[in-house]
Amino acid sequence: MSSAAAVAGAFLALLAAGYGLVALVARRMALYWFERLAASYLIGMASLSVVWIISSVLIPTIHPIWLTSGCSAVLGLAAWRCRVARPGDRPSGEAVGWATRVGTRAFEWPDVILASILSLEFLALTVASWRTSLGFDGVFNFEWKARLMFEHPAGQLPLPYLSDVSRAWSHPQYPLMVPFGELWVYTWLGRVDQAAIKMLFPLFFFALVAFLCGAVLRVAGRRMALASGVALGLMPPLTLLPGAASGYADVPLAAAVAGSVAFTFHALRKGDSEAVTLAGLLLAVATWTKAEGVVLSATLGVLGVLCLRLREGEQPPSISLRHSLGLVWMPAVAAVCWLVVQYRYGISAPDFVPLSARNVLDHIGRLPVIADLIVRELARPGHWGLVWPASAIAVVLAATGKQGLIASDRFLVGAIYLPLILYTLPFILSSWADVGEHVRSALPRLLVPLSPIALFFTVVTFCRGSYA
Amino acid sequence: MRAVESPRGLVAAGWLVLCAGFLYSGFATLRLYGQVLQESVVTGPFGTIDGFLKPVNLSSGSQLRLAVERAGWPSDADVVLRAPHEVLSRQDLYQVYYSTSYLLYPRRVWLDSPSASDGPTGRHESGSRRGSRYVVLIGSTNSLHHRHHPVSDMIALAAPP
Repeated sequence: MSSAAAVAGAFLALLAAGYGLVALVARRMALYWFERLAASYLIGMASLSVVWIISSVLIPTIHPIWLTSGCSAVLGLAAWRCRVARPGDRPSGEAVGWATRVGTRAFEWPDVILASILSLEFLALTVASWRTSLGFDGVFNFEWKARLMFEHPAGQLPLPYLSDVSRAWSHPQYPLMVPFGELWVYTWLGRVDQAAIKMLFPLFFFALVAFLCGAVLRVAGRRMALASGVALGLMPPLTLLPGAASGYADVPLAAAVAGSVAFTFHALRKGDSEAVTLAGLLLAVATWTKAEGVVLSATLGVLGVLCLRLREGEQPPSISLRHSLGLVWMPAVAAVCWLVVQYRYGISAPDFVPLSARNVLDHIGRLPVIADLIVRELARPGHWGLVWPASAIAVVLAATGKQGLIASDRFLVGAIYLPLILYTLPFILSSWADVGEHVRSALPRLLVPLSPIALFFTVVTFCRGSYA
Repeated sequence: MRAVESPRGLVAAGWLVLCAGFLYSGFATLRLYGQVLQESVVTGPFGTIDGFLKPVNLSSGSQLRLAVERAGWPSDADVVLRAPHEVLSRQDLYQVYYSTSYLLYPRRVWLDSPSASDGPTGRHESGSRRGSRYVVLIGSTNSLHHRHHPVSDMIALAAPP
């Protein structure tokens, strides 16, 4: 099998598994084709990684690739048969087959221009990914784990690696979804190839754009959706560094978080329980993608449940508490499993001193420095295109509007600003000699998952203002 | 002030901020893409690691791995990467250190350098490992001892006594 065919096979197998799971979870929900593709990519990668780990531990005599590929084929076929057998389960609204059509209005020239720019952005990112090397963390925090699993006879991450003090700098405590995606390509290819895995990352960016465009399309129309997608491609931290071209896990995390926020927002507006389940699954994916995914998932999950249940004076959603709690228990399962492994075999992160009252009191004086650096970063137009100041205007606009902050607004504002506040606190316990250097190095990455949500909230609020 | 009082004014101000910001970041993005397209293409299965070893004049990481294997260093060895302060910048030093650890796995690699203690990752217990028999030395040709096995003119393996 040629290398190109092997890589294509790896991607198709991921998508087939994800497509199957998404089809089983969201039978009636109207999803756009690009949303379904994006969800299939992320959920497929995460679910196959779980099958891989379980099979490599329980049946070490058989290489996990066989069982995992078998699962992928079965899920793909099951979804196909499910679709053929149950035409009544087609998505509602403008449903055609397995995906919702992107509007019925013909494309006008501004739409064509925006769609062309968006396509060019994808092309440029793919070329840039192909030409450049993986970033520092892309190799040492993620690709290395993939290589270790690939070289292990049973396809496992060697447990001594998790507690190896000489390699604490490579963050053994980071979760494994991105390394698994790379391992998946290596296994299909039959060798380690740092060039081949670069193709994974433009697809994560595509997933991020797809979720944002789908969410904006539902509330503000096709043109605004295309413009929002184009805007994402104009934020360097999302595209080049530490963006999708670098092999870092921030854009994959951003894609999972954006999908979860988009589907929770849809559930809050339309009372769609399947959207909540998809959002919960994507929060589990976020937890399995990067360490701060735990913070994001916990915040978004609890916030989502509260907003779904507490809607004073608003039409109550037709979503049961059981469904709502999916936003909490799905990421919690992912987090607890990984944290147990870390507790048993891992070592503490080298970048922070242990949490204790004394350490907090000793370092609390850093807070003004940290806050100052965060505000400066948020206002940096070369990174975020002033989306943060614009989102502050949107908060004022939403809060002072006739309706005030409705549940979906409260959810979005909380989803943007609560993690931002929570991010500030760990830097107080930074073990770096220069805390400013630590903040400057980590902050752009931490803002990658939050900036698309800030853009979404801003666009939704401004459009509502325009239409009013 | 009137714009702030009127929601329409506030919305217009918001759109203006958003458009101006994305115009600016758009130019920044184009400039970065321009830089990326001017750089040479990174190729090869270990292209990224090979690139990280350029500061010590190695064209490929396999040179270092093969040299260590030829020298017969055991796979459970503790290896010390020793670098005088002035030879490499801190960024290059850590780049080479991490790459060495990547290439020599499963051997544990420790950094012994004066600049390691003042860096963010200067907690590598290098002091306690200085007695290790397996040493990778970084330095100029003049500073490398005749008993060392050079891998390039910047990096050598110190033979165990």
